[in-house]
Amino acid sequence: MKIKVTPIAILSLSALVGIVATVIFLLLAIKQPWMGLKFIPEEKIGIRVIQSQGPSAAITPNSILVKVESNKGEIELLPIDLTIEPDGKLQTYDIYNYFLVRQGHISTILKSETVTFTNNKGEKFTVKPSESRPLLSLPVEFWVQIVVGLFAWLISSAVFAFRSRESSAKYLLLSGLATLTFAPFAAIYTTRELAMPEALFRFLSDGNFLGGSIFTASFVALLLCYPKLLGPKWLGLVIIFLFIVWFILQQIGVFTSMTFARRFLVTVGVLSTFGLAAIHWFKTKKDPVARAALQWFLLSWMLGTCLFWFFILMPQMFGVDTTPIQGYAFGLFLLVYAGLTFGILRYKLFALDQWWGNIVLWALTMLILVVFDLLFLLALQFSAGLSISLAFLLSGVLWLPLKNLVWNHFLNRHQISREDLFKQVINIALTPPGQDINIRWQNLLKNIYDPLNIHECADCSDCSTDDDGQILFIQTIGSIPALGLEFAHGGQRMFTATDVTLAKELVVLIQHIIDNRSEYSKGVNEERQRIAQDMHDNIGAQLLGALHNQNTERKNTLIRETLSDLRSIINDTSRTELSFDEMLADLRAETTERLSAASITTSWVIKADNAPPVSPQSIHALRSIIREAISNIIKHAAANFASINIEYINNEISVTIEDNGKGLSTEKTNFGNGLANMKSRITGLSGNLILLNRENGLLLRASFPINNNGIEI
Amino acid sequence: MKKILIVEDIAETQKWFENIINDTFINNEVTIASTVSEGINSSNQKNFDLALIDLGLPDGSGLKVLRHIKSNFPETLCVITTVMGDDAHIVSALSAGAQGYLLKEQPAEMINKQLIQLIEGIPALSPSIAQRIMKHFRLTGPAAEAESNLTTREQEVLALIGRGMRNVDVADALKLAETTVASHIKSIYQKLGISSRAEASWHATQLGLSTDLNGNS
Repeated sequence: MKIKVTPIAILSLSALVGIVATVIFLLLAIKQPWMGLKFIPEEKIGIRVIQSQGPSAAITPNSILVKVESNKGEIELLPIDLTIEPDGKLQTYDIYNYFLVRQGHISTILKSETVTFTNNKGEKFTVKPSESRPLLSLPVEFWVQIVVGLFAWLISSAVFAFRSRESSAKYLLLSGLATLTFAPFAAIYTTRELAMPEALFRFLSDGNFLGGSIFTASFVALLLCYPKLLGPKWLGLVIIFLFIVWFILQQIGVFTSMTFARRFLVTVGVLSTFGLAAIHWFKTKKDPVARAALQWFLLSWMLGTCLFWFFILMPQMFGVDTTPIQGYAFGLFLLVYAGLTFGILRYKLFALDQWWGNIVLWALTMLILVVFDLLFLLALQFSAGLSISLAFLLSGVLWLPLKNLVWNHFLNRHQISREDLFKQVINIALTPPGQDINIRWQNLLKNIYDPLNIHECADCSDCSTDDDGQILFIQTIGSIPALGLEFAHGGQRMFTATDVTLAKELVVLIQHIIDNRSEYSKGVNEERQRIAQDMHDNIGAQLLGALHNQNTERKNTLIRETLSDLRSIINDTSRTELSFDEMLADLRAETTERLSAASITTSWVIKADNAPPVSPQSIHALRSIIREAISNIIKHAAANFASINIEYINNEISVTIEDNGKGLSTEKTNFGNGLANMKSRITGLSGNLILLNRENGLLLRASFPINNNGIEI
Repeated sequence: MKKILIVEDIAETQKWFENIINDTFINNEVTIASTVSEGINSSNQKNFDLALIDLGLPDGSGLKVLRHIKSNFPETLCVITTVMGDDAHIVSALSAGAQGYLLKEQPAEMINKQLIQLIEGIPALSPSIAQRIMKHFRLTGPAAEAESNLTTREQEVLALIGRGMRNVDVADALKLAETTVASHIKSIYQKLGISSRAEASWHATQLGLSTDLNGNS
C-alpha cells in the first residue's frame, strides 16, 4: 500500500532536517582548535597576522609568521595555506592534494596544549589554543552561507510538500538539498582560522563541488519540465546522472586541471539554463499571464545564478582570484529562492498561491516558537541570579499567551457541530437572491474540511478524492460549479472515504432543498399569476364599468362590488380546501341580506358537494351573474320570493334564479347592460345563458362546463 | 350622550362615518384621529363609549390603538373598520379584544344597522371570518381549560355562518332564538381571545393571528 504523507508532515520533517543539519554544520565549524588569529597571505613566504585576540593576544599584529611547531611536529607556513576556496584558486589536482596534505599537517600540529609560532625575525610566540572556536568569532560570510543553505532547503521543501507528485517540485527539492550542502560546506572551510583535518577538508570541498553540480543539474532538469515539458521526461534524470558521473570522473583523477574539471560542466549547465529559459520565453509568447509568472521565475534564477557565475566562477577560469568575496556572493542564491517565493505568491508558480505563503509562514512561526522556547530556557538559566521575577513576568504575561495563541490557531481548528452544519446547509440552499450561494457553499466546505485551497474545476457529477487524498473533488450542484479542495485540515491530514461520504450527503441534502425550494417558488409564482389574472379580468373590468357608468347609484354598486371582490381575492376564496358552498358563502350572506332588506323571501340551495375545484373566473362569473340578477329582482320584479339554485351535474355548473314578480318588462332598463355583461362572461366560459320570461316571474339560467382535471386557467 | 372615537386616515371616510354616526345616535360627541399616535392620545383624554378603529393607518396598525384602549379602558366598545384588510387581520383584531368589525365598502344603511346591533351586544360575523375562526380552533385543538374550547352548539353556529347563513337563518335551522345565536357568537369571540392568548401562539402565527404590531391591513 502506498504510504500517504501529509504536507505538514513533510514540512515538519524538512524543518527538522534543516535544523539538525545546521546544528551539525555549526558544531563542525566550532569544534576546531582556536587561537584568535586572523591572517592574510604574504607574497612568497609566511602569513601575516592582522588581528590577534584571546589565546594569541601576545602575538603583535603585522607579524609575519613563517613556522608553527608543537610536540606533534613542525611545518613552514606558506601563503597557499590561506587558500579560501581550493576550487577557484588551485589550478591542478596535484596542487590541491599538496594543499590538503599541508592542511592536515598544520591541523595536527595545532591540536596540542601549546603551539609555538616563529616570525620572520626568528622571534617565537607560544600560544595555547582553545579546544573550540567561540560561536561569535565566526565571520559574517559564514552566517550568510548557512542562512542561504537553510532558506533554500526550507522553501524548496515547502513547495515539494504540496506538490510532491510533480517532477518539477522534485527537482526543486533536489536543488534545495544541494544548496543545503554546498553553501554550509563552503561556509565551514572557507572561514577556517588556519587549517582543518585533511579528510574533513577534502570531504567538505568535494561535497561543495558535488552540491554545486547537482544544484546546476537540478535547475537544468527543472527548466526541462517546468513551466512546460520541453523534452522527454527521463532527460532531467540523465542530466543529473551526467553531472554525477562527471564528479566521479574528476574524483578518480581523470582530469589534470581542477579549474577546468570543477568549472567547465557547471558553466555549460548555467549556459544551457539560459537556452531553456529562452525557449520557455518564446513558448509563452501568446500567454501573457504565463509569461509574467515565468518572468519572475527566470529573473530570480538568472539574477542570482548569473551574477554568481559572472563575478565568481567565470573570473576563476581566467585565473582571477575571487574567492575572498565568494562567501558573501552566496547571498545571491537567496535571490533565486526569494524570487521563487514571490512568484508563487504573486503568479501562482507551481500552481501554488497565497495560501501557500500563509501555511509556510505558520510553519515558520512554529519553528521560531520552538527555537525561542529553547532560547527562553537558556535565558531563564542565565537570569536566575538576576531577576527570576522578571523572567516569570515575561513568560506569564507575554511569552506563554503568545505561544498559546499561535499554537491554537495552527493546531486546534474548531470542529463544526451537527446543528451548525444543518443550519449552514439550509442557509446555502435557501440563499436569498442577490447573495452569493457559491461563497456560502465554499465557507461551509472551509468550516468542515479546512482545506488550504479551494478552486473551481471542470463539471463532475460525483464527489471523490484523488489517489493520494490530497484533493477532494466536490460535484456540481445546479448552478454551483464543481470544486476541488486541496489538503484537508490545513495540510495536516489526507482526505478519506469518510470525507467523501459526508460531501455526498451534503450535496444530496442541498440539491434536495434547492429542488423543493424551486417547487415552492413555482407555487408562489402561480399564485402571483392567479392574483394578477384576477385583478385584470375582474377588478379592472368592473372599475372600468363603474367609470363609464352615468348612474351614480349603479357606479356605487359597482365600486362596492369591486371592493368586495378585491377582498375575496386577497382572502383567496379559491383556496382548494374550501368546499363549493363555503366559497360562495359570502355571496349567499350578501344576497340574502339584500333580498331580505327588500322584504323578499329567499331560498338558496347548492347541490355541488362533488364539484371539483373551480377557477376564480367561474366563481367570479357566478357572483356577478347572481348579483346582477338579484339587483334586477329588487329593482324591477316587484317580487316577494326569489330562489337561487346552484347545481353541479355532468361537469357543468348551472345557476338558476327564479322570482315570482312581474317578469321582464319591455321598457329599457339598466338590465340591458347587465344582461350583456352576463352574456359575455358566460360566453367566455363556453357556457349558455337562458332567460325565460314567464307569467309568474322570470327564470334565468346560466350554465358552463368546468374542467374535471382541476382549475382551468 | 355617547362619546365616540373614530380612528381613520381618509378624510372622506372620516366624514362618511361621522354622518352615519350622527344618523344612528342622537346627541353625540365625536372625536376624530387619523394616526395611531393621535388615536392613543385621544383615547387617553376621554372614556369613550365606542371606538371605530381602522387597521391600516399611516404610522402603523390600528391594533396598537385597540390594545391600548383595551388595556386602559376595557369598558369601551371597540369596533374594527376595514376595507382591504384580509380576514386574518380581522381575526387577529377579534382575538385582541375587538367586539366587532365593519367592512367599509358596505352601504351606509348596512353600517348603520350593524352599529345598532353592536351597541345592543349582537356582534357581526361574516362567513369568511367564521371559516377562519373554525380553522383556528381546529388547528389549536382541544385546550387544557375546557372553558376555552368551543361547544358543539358554537361549532354548529360557526359552520352554518361559514356557509353564508345569517343569524336569523341559523336560528331557524337550529331552532333557536336569534338572541341565543348572538350570545353564541359573543362566546366564540371571547374564546377566540382566550385561545389565542394561550397555547395557540404557534397556530396563531400560522394563521396571521400573531401579535403583529406593524401588521398592514
